[in-house]
Amino acid sequence: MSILSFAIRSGDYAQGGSASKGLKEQLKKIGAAPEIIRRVMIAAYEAEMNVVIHSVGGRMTVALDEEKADIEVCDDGPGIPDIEQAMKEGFSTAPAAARELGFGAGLGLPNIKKNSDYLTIESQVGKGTSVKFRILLRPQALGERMRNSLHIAPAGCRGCYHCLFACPTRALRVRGNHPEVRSELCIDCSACISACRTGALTVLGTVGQLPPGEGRVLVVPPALLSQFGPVVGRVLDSLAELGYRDIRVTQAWEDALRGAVMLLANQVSQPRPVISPCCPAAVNLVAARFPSLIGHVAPFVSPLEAVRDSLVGKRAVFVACCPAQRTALDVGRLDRNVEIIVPSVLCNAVMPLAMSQRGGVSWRDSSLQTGETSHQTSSDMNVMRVTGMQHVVNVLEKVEDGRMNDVTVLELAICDEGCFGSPLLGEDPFIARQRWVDARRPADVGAMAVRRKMPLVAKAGLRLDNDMSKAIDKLAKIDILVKSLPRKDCGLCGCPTCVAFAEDMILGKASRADCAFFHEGTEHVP
Amino acid sequence: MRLSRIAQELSLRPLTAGAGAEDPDVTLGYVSDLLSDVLASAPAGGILVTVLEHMNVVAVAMHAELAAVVFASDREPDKAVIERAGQEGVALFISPQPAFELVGKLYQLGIRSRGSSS
Repeated sequence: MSILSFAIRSGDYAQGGSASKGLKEQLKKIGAAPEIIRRVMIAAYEAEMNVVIHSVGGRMTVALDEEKADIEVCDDGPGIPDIEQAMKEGFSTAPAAARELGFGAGLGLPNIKKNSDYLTIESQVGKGTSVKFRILLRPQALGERMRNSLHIAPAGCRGCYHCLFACPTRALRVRGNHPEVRSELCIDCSACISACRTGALTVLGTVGQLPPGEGRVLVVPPALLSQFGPVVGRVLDSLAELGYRDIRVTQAWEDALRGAVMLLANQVSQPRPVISPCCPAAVNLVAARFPSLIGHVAPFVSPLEAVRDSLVGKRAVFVACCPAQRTALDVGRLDRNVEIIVPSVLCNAVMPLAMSQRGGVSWRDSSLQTGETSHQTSSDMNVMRVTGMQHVVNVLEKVEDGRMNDVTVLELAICDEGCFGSPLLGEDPFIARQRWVDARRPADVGAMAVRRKMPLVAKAGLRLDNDMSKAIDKLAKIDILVKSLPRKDCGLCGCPTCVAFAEDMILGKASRADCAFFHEGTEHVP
Repeated sequence: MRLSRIAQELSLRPLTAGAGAEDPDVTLGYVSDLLSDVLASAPAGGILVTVLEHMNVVAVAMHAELAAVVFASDREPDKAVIERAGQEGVALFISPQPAFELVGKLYQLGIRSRGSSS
């Protein structure tokens, strides 16, 4: 990690760009790709000029490592009164002197957003502004070693092995009542959490406090609102009582994504079916098990990430219904503006309120709509919705075989009925979804789909050895080893299959004696 | 098309001496007087037509990795600007013609904006 710091002087137009130029030299030295350098330069230059034009002076601090450039440009005033307005293209408060020089077109912050992977802005009028952004220097590295948000509490495990067989990528092992996850295989779905009877597997951050409402926006999925009976409006009322500055229901962003995917699907060049990235775990599944279908996935971020994108500069609390949602929100977190909780934290807080209220639906009556909205406008298009892990896998196999070309858009969700089937929620998914469909609910609030900044890449998966010739040797050994195993895939050794057991043995993570059918002194097991 | 050839066809007057040394192949171009717009949309390796003639144009040209900047309507930059451009390897040209004419001629020569299909 190397830290660079540059001073930026207010009103010094002639020297404007010198800080970002210093950065460019550094990036060249570490061998960053030209296209990435260009993105860093544009974002850094805009941030630097903002300080020159608007502030009393400030500095740029850059933290560089082999994977990313984290850039913070901060100044000592005057601050931005309304960040949302400042983010709008065309909005500018630049003085005439700046405009004469070709600045002040209201494109600065939008340009930073467009060219960075993650952006946050904090500003206090009278004190100053801090613009932080991150640009990934090796975007492909993310796919190589994806993070997981699966949380394992070994104390709860009683060694039932249900999770072993639930995992679609065979990422779990159970050794002596102690589940382990192979993060290079895990796709952050909820399958093992669903299978776990004892709560030993859950999402990171389950033990968490509900952040106070003051100044924060609360982002909730529809599934959370339909947990408490046919009183969706009342639940919204109760959430409002918690004191949040605003409540955003993710439905609007799901609808916006659907619209954008359909527009894309109209293009002839797009391979069909176009897979909607509405479920981040389903996207991970494609990247891990169906890499040949990556071109089918529409290049947008998930609805939850799109909500985050719309909240730049605001503090927000997100409810994540699965590890994949948590990871998607977490990966780009640059500061504490984004807080993530699991549904139970919010459910516990809202339950007493929702249950105590009497009367009908009141939540912002004027803005409530009934029933399905955007879905209907698209009825002329061939959209297929598939939910539940097994069905999603089946359908993706068919797509891979080229037997689904008659479908235009494919919406996949790993949980039954999408997030309504999250194992972190209690209500039956079909009941919960129907309640939401029937409910009056908040109108769309200018939600938009957001394009991916980095292309989706295949997940590398298990590597037997970094040296390919050694890996091939190991492959041959595994092949021989598997033939000597019972091939019952019983799971008693703690691996989901005999092949996985053989791999673990070759990698030195399991020993032959773990096999229940192995007897001392025999070369082959029956 | 080679930059020197473009300069010749449009009767551009070169301001930076070393510009002829590399003489890059230029196929893309852009016209704008908003620097953020140039940053956002001007293609790397392209030629920019503008009436802005101050130091920041050079900084933007460098960041956007432009091959050349043409100052339209005889907008002559300061010596310091020309010197800086020389250091940064950005070729500067000047022309009495307005931006409209210059861009029209560039288009006739086959120069296009990034993402143009025609």
